[in-house]
Amino acid sequence: MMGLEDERQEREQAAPSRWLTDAARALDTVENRVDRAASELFDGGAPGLSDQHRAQIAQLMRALIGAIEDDLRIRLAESLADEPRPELLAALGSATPIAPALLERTRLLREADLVAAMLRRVDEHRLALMLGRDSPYHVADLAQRLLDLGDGAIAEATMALLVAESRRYDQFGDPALARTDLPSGAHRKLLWAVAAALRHYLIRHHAMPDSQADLLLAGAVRALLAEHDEIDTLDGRADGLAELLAQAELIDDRLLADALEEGWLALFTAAIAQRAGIDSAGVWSMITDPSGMMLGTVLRAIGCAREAAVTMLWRIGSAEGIDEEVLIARADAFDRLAPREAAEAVLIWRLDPNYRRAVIEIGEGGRRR
Amino acid sequence: MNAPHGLRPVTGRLDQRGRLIEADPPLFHLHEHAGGVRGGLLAVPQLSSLARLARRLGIAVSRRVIAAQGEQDVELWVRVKPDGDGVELAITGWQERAAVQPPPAIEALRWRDFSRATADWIVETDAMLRITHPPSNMPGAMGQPIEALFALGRQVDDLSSIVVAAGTAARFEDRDAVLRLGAGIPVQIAGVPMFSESEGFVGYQLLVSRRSVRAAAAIRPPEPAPLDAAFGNQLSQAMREPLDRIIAQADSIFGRGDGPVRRDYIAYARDIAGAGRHLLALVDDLVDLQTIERADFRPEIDRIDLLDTAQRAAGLLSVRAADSQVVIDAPPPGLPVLAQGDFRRVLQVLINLISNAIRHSPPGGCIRVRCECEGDIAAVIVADSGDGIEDGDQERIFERFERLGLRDGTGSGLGLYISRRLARAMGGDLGVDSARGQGARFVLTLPAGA
Repeated sequence: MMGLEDERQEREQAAPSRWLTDAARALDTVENRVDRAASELFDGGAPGLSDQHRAQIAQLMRALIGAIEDDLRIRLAESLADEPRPELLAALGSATPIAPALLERTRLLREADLVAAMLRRVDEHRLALMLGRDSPYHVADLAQRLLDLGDGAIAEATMALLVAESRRYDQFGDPALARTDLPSGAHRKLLWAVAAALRHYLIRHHAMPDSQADLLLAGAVRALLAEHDEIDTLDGRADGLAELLAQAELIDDRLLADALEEGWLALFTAAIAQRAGIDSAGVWSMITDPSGMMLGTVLRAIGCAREAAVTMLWRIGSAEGIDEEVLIARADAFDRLAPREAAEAVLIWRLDPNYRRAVIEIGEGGRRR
Repeated sequence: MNAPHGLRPVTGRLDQRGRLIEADPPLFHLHEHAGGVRGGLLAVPQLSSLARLARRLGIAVSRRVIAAQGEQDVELWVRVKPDGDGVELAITGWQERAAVQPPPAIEALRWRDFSRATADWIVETDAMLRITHPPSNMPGAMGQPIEALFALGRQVDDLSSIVVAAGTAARFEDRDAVLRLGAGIPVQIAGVPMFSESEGFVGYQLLVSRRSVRAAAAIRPPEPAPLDAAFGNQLSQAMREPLDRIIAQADSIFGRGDGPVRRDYIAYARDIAGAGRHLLALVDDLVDLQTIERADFRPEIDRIDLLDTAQRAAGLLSVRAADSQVVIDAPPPGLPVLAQGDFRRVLQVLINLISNAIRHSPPGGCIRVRCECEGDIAAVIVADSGDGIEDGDQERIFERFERLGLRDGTGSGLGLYISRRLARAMGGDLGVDSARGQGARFVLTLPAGA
């Protein structure tokens, strides 16, 4: 028969293991979704994305490649300005895209970080729209409040975030993803991929010597990479502001609830990440976890009060069109969850994302693949 | 945060059962408009569901709500806060505005889609009403005037009504004509005008549907309908279209075809669709009643296979039976059981009998359908495992508007009356044997078809 001490030990072992399983499941869900999205976008696999998702991601991809190609072509044209190659300069100055057709035939665009960034931008856009539709509050009230604090650094970081936010939409109000908003890894890979496509074109169609093409393109890519500043991405600006707010002890429940209410998801994510000691990408996985349980868990772990936490769970669930009974179940689960259990559950999310992935990949406490 | 606000919030309070126990006049007015009474359950569904959600979640909930108030919509910003046993309502930004109607263009598209879905042929013409896209089996009609394809009725100044409609590029529907194919097929034509940006009206898309021979005959001699029949026709016309639309819209909400919908709205939509179907069935029954009670009513008697008809009726209702956890034991395949009758009318009677049996059967029950022929009588038997019918009630159920022992309050009370009238009009009869607690056994008899 199991003694009390055995039972206590088993409980202590069971809880982290259970939460690790949940963490694994949430991460697994997110990563699987990225895999599925990539498969669907590039191989026409099983339909998991909505038509709108697919169209918006395809548009983001076209715009991204187009923008990178334009930047490279401008630099190439500048480098070749003194050469007597009018037909090449005319081709580089034309509006006909070169890289997309070449890249679509390869697996170079199937980069997980790139697909994840596009998926997040589209999801974030849709969720922000839905939140705004149901909200009686004006967007930017919170921003005004932060600007009114009289703290120069916070005001500057707020303005920088608003500027970065403005890159989230195109001129028609559709989601946009600027090259400069890409994570550095994805940015680097995409730049080199587009450069390789241009190399193919220069050599095949304009008989440019290989070495000349390589040198020209390498120079152009390095110049663009040197300009890339990870701090000036949307996530970087949100993290920067959240860090200042955390230092000023301003990330309270109200700030979280208000950021969500206004659909200011970049700040909402970064502020939770700051308070929980988790990376923003991890928090975003929790926010978009289809079971809705991870967000409740992290809110409990950071000591969020019931009124604010259940309001946030309701706002996100409602914006996602979740059934009322499920919303009630999520609120009940939040009520039942002890802070210690929640803290244990999010522990692994506080560690390096690569470690987290590796632990889950190996199968310790997870059911990965 | 600066929520939109009026001068002062309109407030109200619900008790734990959702009754409106306190309300400022505008809120009470809205509640009354929605059919509520003083101290009764809050009758504005958008507000009551929000209140329920706030109470269940145990948090204050703010939402934009649009509610109907008579001919107008009212846009509200509502904050609902649980307070003790009840909830408090605070409404700001009270704005009245004209109710949003679907744009006419969408309505026209919707009409066209439905018409296309039911059309047997689709023909296109140019602006001069010459065929540009003939039916696939009549390619020779290309370039011919529409009169080469259809015999059209004349209406105004010896011009066909379609030619008249084309004069103004107007949409038209239900024009009777005869398609010149074989011996001539009576059809109805609906026309959708087609426009191009540069040339304006460029022709019609004609949606051509078969018309039943009887319907065709009925329009030729325009006999003055008796007052009651005219009433029936008008009832059908007046109610069928709005009911169809209500059901289609409610089904669309229920099926979430336009995106996610709140759960309580889905439940309302299901109720609306159910009530709509019930009303539609009632209209059908009333129109049928008008038809069969006319002195000149004659079913189209033909030789039919009762076995096949009974199997079809059982097949049509198998899904509904499964939903009610009832099994239909259809007649097994075998030799045809021939009878004299009107196929559509016999099918109607059998559907009515099996539907009744489903409604009266308990979950897990079985409905047995069998066909027999003896001498010059052919019969279909529909036996259920319901509560049965007492001797004294066995004739009453064939009376008009009798709804004996219906479990769900559905049914017009006309089905069995109409079924028996139809059976007798076809030279047969409809009877029942039953005893309380032993199920009911309906027998439809018809003259054997030999």
